[in-house]
Formats: sequence, structure tokens, C-alpha cells
Amino acid sequence: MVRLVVLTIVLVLSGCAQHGLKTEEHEQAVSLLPVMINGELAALDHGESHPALINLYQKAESARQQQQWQLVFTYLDQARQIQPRTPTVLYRLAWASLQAGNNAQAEQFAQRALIYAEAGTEVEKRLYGLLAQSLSRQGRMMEAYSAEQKAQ
Amino acid sequence: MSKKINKTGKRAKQPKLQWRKWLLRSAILFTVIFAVWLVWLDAQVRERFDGKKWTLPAKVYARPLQLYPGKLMTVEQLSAELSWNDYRQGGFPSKPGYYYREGNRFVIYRRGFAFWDGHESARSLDIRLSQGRIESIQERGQDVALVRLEPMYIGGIFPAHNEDRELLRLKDFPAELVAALILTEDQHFLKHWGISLRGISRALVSNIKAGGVVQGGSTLTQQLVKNFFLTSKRSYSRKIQEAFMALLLELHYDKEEILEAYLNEVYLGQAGRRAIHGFSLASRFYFAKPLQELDSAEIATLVGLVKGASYYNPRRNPERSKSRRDLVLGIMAEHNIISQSERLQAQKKPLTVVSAQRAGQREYPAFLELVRQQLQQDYRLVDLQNEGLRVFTTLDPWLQHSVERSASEHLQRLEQRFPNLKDQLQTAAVITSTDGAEVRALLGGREAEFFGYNRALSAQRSIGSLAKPVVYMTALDSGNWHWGSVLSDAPVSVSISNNKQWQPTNYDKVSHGDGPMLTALTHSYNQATVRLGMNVGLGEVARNFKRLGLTEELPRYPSILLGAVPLSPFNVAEIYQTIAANGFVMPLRSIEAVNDAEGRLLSSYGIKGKQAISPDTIQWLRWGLEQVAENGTAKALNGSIPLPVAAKTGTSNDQRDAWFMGFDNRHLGVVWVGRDDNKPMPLVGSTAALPIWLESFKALGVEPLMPASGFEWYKVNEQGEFVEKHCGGVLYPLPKKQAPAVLAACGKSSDKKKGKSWLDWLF
Repeated sequence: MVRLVVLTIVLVLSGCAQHGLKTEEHEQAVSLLPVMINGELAALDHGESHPALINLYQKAESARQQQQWQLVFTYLDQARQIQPRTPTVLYRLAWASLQAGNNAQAEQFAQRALIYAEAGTEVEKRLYGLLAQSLSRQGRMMEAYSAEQKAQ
Repeated sequence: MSKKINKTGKRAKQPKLQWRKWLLRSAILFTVIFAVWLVWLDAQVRERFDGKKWTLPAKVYARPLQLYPGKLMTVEQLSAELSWNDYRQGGFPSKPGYYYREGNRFVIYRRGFAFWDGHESARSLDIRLSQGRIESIQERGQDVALVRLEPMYIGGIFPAHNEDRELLRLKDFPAELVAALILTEDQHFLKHWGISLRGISRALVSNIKAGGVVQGGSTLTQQLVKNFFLTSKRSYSRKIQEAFMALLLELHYDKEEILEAYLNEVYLGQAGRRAIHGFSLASRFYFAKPLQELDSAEIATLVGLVKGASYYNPRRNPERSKSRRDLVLGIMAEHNIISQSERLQAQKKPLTVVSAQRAGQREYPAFLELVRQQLQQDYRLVDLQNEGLRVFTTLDPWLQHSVERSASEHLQRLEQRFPNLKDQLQTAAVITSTDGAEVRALLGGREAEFFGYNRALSAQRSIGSLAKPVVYMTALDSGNWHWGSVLSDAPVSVSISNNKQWQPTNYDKVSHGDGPMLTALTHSYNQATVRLGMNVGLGEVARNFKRLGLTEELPRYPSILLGAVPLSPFNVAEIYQTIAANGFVMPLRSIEAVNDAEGRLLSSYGIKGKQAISPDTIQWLRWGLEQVAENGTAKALNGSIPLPVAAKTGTSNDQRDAWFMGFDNRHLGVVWVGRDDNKPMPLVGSTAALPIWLESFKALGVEPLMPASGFEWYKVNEQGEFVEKHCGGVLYPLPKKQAPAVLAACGKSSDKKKGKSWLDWLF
């Protein structure tokens, strides 16, 4: 119950903070990210990337649509091995982990991606958003709130 | 009288009746025993033949070589990887397994392969390299974004008998081979009932004439029975059992089933500990190609081996093997399997077997041991040995071969320089990827193909100065120290127990006085490090070893500060992995995925890890390690490879162990050199271990570390204080979060560090 209340507060606060967010300078590298629809990732293979990565994202997306999570992760991990420090690769791993219900893993991927994400970019914001989700699902509401603040 | 006569007559008949009675009883008993024995034999035959006929060892593969435009790739590497995968160079390839090369252009007809994430068909690829990278990949004029070569076989997890085989269905064996086998070994196979009386009589006559066993009368069925159910012991009782079992086998199973079993079962050679069974594996082993690609001469060579795999071994006894091959070719021509002109052509060919030691057939014992250890966390050994699992690993053969070659060459050089060290030096190495903790190469000793003591995993050796970065990290993490902080490298004495004092000295036996903390690390000063370690606290240092991933509990002895900690090279790699991976603790991983014998994905092992130490602290430490390569004890790297790379040399007490650790943007390498008897050597980390790392990484291609983000640079004066920009001083990095609130004015010095002598450090 307490978690629910805190989460509601977090969401309300984040909703309030959304006005005036999208400044042009924060749009850097956004084309590398998958499309978001209603605040949710639409598909793993959206966005611009190296053709080798797109190839793997397409396979991962196809496996995701069939709910074959083990295959999703094996394709995304192959992408990570090609570009280990690309935040958008790690972002997809974090997002897929969240979808698969592995919140702790999602948190670690988001943390790792944040090391390489350029400060103040849309990529960084989205990563903080994912981090907030993974933390709140683990019941760590205060940390989630802090991450959500950074996602604004 | 008549009564007497009768009595006498009765007496005369009685022994005869008794004898008959006993004969009858014996016959009945014998028949019963024989029947029971037959039933028992029958049960044995059916049980073994109906069920799974063979235990299939897990097959272990290296990583598949990913190819995509932009990837670092040299002509040498691609040529080597193709050759290790048994690709043959020739003209424009028209079938899988062949490639054509013209300068930087490769046209590869990649074989189809069942990868862990799905089967991929054979495809013809046109690959162009330029300036050490892949420029383009095309297939029928269309760009290809990503493709991979099938992974190299690197060994198996065998049951105790070490039998290895590749199973094929009868329909997949070349008809030419099946016919040649039957005609050579058992011409009446399709007619007899398991035994051939004609064959036995002929063998019996020959053996009597020769006064010993010179010819066997065994049919293929009997040979199969012998290999399948019985020992190789030669005795008449075993021969009788073999004959009955052959009859039973023929009674229950058709010729096709028996033939298929034979083709997969027959012993055809030995590769180290691995027994090569069946024609399919033998084809790869001797000719480096699938059975379907063999020509008549090669088929005849394999069929010739059936009579005696060792006696007719084409590698060891080429003359004998060739004459047997020609005999088989003659039989094939005689029965119109091949024409006479084909026979003549084939008989003119020399034996063309490939090396038994080539990469695609040799094993990698040290790495395989790690794989087995890690697999046993999820799988039972018995399943690994029997269920035909396919294990895809992280081993990079190119890197593995580079490390093996570098180690072997450097140890030879050292032994030439120090002849008294001849055959005394040993080595071990672990190479991982910095971001994913995948183990890319593992060297367990200087004889890389030797199944024995695996020093990389099992040798527990003092790590010497490789412990020091943990001390410095503890200091940086405390917030009380920075790289410009003044540290005294004066004599130090630490009270240990029973009023005993520990007084470590420096390697050069010289105390270097006060200096920046960075110099103490880059020059690996013992006295300064001990002083720092005692200041930050042994407990904190030990705790940081654990945070970095060390699973064992360290004793709280001051000597741990100088690396009096026995660890394996693998343990050391685990610790440094965390540093190379920006503070993420990750278990070193050798397995990518496991499939069952039918190709279904059972497990896949992606990246795992947890942020244990803040990236700021790690990157701050990393900057210090970069200076070790720039101008410290690892300055031999400077000028040899593009910098920055992080590095640390290590030498244990009395020079019993020489270590080197280094990582670039992609790989971490830990190398150890020492003696198994733990005696001192006239060598240190920078002379013994560093060159092995250097040569290995040169072959791999060094990718310098990316500059750390999140630093601000401040000038530090001789007193270790941050001073204003225009003042004299040396620039040092500082994490933004630790920016000093106040900068000291130029020329102002603090006396707070003065007046300390080694007496201050008596604990």
C-alpha cells in the first residue's frame, strides 16, 4: 500500500514536471533510440544504428513478438558485444529485461548505460526513466523518485 | 540260476542306463544353461541396440567469428580463421567449405551451421578488407550487414573411454564408401546370417597353415558385436559368444540398421586422448572435410583403416596406408564401383592427410577445464559426457593462438638469456573482454595442448605489486587522497605480532622520500604503499578486494598490502575485470549458450554484473594505471603500442612470481610467469610477463582507452595542495564531485606533512 502511494506521488510529480521538457539541445542522439508510443517502447528495431546492430535488433524484435525472451537476450547480447559501450544497446537490454520481469537486471543495464550516455541528452533521460521503473518495481521508491527526477 | 543270471543281467545293464541317464540329464542341463545364456545374450543385444547406442560427448565450440563492415580484421586473421575452420583455398568457390583470396578480397562459401540461436544456410560472401578493417560484405551484389563464420571445434567433454564420433544416418554415407567397405571387409554381408561359415573355414585353414592366428573370419556383424558388446580379448569362448550375438543381432535387426551402426561405431584413429570412431568424424580428422566431399582415394584410405587403425595410420605409416588404399581401390574397380581409369588416377595420388595438430582438431585443455567447471554449475557431468550437448563458448582462437605463441617464444628467449632456467619456467594467462567479462583466451601452462596442471585456474601464487592498485583505490575512494597527495617513501616499520616488526624495502633497496602518490604507484614503491595502506586501514583494503570481486576472505596482515596474497591468475583477472569494467563486478564467463543434440537452445548466458564501486573512483584509479604504462614500471609499452592503456607490473617476494596486468578499450590480460617449484628467478614482472602481454595484444590490435569523462584538472603544488590555475604545479585529475572548495594561493605551503619520520609509522 505504502509503495502504491509513493509510486502515485512519483508519477504525479513526474507528470507535473513534464511541461517544457523537450528542448532542442536535449534531442541529441534521439534518432538512435527506438520510437516511444504513449511512453512505451514500440519495438526493439526502431531507430538508427550500425547495420549490423539493426540486423540483430530485427531478430530480437521478431523473437520478442513471439515472447521468446531467451532469444531476445541472445541477439541483444550479440549487439552488445559489437558495441559494448553504446548506451542505446544497453538501453534495449534494460528495456527487454524490464519487459521480461527481470527488474534487477534492468537496473544494472540502465546503470551501465548511464556511464556512457552523454549528460543532458534524451538518451540519458530515457535511461533514468527506465532506471526509475526498475527501481520502483523493486520497491525502492525513494531511489526511483530520484531517478525519475533526473528523467525530467 | 536263472534268477542269478537275471540278477547278473540287470547288473550288466545298470551302468549303461546310469550313463544314459546322466547323459540325458547333462544334455537337459546344458540345454537349459545354453537357453538361459542365449536369453541373456539376447537381452543384452536388444537392450543396447534398441536404446541409445552411443554416449555422445558434449561438443565445445569457440566463438563464431562475427563479420560486419567496420570490424577490425586483418588478412592474416581472416586467413587463419578460415584455415582453422578447415576451409580450403582455391579458385572461385562453388561449394561450401572453400574460399578464394585475391589481395584484400575474400570470396568465402560459408557452410551451413546450426548456431545456438538458429540454423543458417550456406552462403557465398564477397568480403573486402581495407586498412585493417572490413570494408564491405556482399552476397550476389547485395550488401550484407552482418554474417558469422561457423565456430571452430575446440574439444569435447568425454566420458571415461574418451570415445568421440559424429553420427550420420545410413542414407548420408556416400554409397561409394558403403560399397567399398562391404566389398573389402565382408563381401557376403548382404547374404549371411551374422556369421559366414565360408569365411570361418577359410580363416581356419589359413591359421592352421600359418600355425597361429593370421586371418579373422569375422563378418561386419561380428566386428560390430566385438566393438559394441565385447572386449578385444582374443579367446575361443569370446569368439563363440561373438558368433551367437551376431546371429541374434541379425535375427532382430535388418541389414541397414546393422550397417549404419557399424559405420558410426568402427574405431578409426586416435587424437591424443580422443578416440576417433565412425567414418564421419574420421573424415574430418584425416581430411578436414565432411564425408560427402571425399574423393575415391580418400574413401579407400578410410576403408583401409578398418583393418587396423594404428597399423595403417596414414600419418605414421604412409607407405603401408597407401598400399592398403591402392588395394581397396583395386577392389572397388574390380566391382565397378569406380572405373579402371578412375582407379589408376586415384592410385597415382599421394596420401593427402591434414595435420592432426591443426587448430580445428586439437583441443584447448585449459579453457575446456574452465568450461567444464562453469557448465557443472547448471548441468550434471554425466549429461555433459553423454547427451551430445553443443556448447558455444567465448574463446577467441585468434587471441588464444597469439597468447600461446607469445608465451612460448618469450619463455624461449628468457631461457636463452638464463640457461640455468632451461625448462624451469612456466606461465599462465587469462584474457577477457573488458565490458562483458567473456574469457577470450586461457593459457594453463607453456604446453598449451597438455591436459594437466592448469596454472591459470589452480596455481595459487603471491600476486606481489598487483595488490597495490587496491590500496590506492581505497585511498582515492576515502576522499582524503588524490594522485598529487604527498606520500612518504621513507623506511617503514609495522608491528605485526609478538613485538616483531615488519620492515619492507623497495625493489631497488632505496627509499625515495616524499613524492606525489602517483609516483608511488607508477614506480611501485613498497614503503610508500605500506604507509598508505596502514593509513587507510587494512580492513578497508581487504574490504575493497571483496568489492572488486574476490570471493575469498583475506587475512588482515600488513603484508597483503604488498601482495602476499596467494591467488590464481584467474582470480587476479576477476579483480581487475571490475576495474576494467568501470566498477561492475562480473563473473568471468566462458559459455555463450548450450544446445541439446537436436539443436534446441537450453541455456544462454548473457552479461551479468552489479555496480560495486562508483565509476568515478574506478576511472580515477584507471588514470593512475595509465601513467604506469606512460612512464612507470610498464613504460616498455610506451612507443610499442598506442596509449593510453592501463597497466601494472607485479613481482612477488624474492622474485618468485612475475606478473603483468593490462587492459585497453576491449581486452584485459593477466599474465603470470614463475617456476612450479616456487624458487626465485632473476626476473620481474616487466621482463618476464609484460612482453607476453605486449606481443599478444599487438597481434590482437590495441584499441587505446577512451579518455575518462567526469574529471576536472587542478594544479597541485609540492605539498599536495590544490592551487590556483596560474600557480606553478602539476595538473592532476579530480572527479567533478570532489572539486575542492578552496584553492591555495601560490607559494603558500602547509607544514602539516612535515616532521614525520619512519618512527611515526610504528604501529
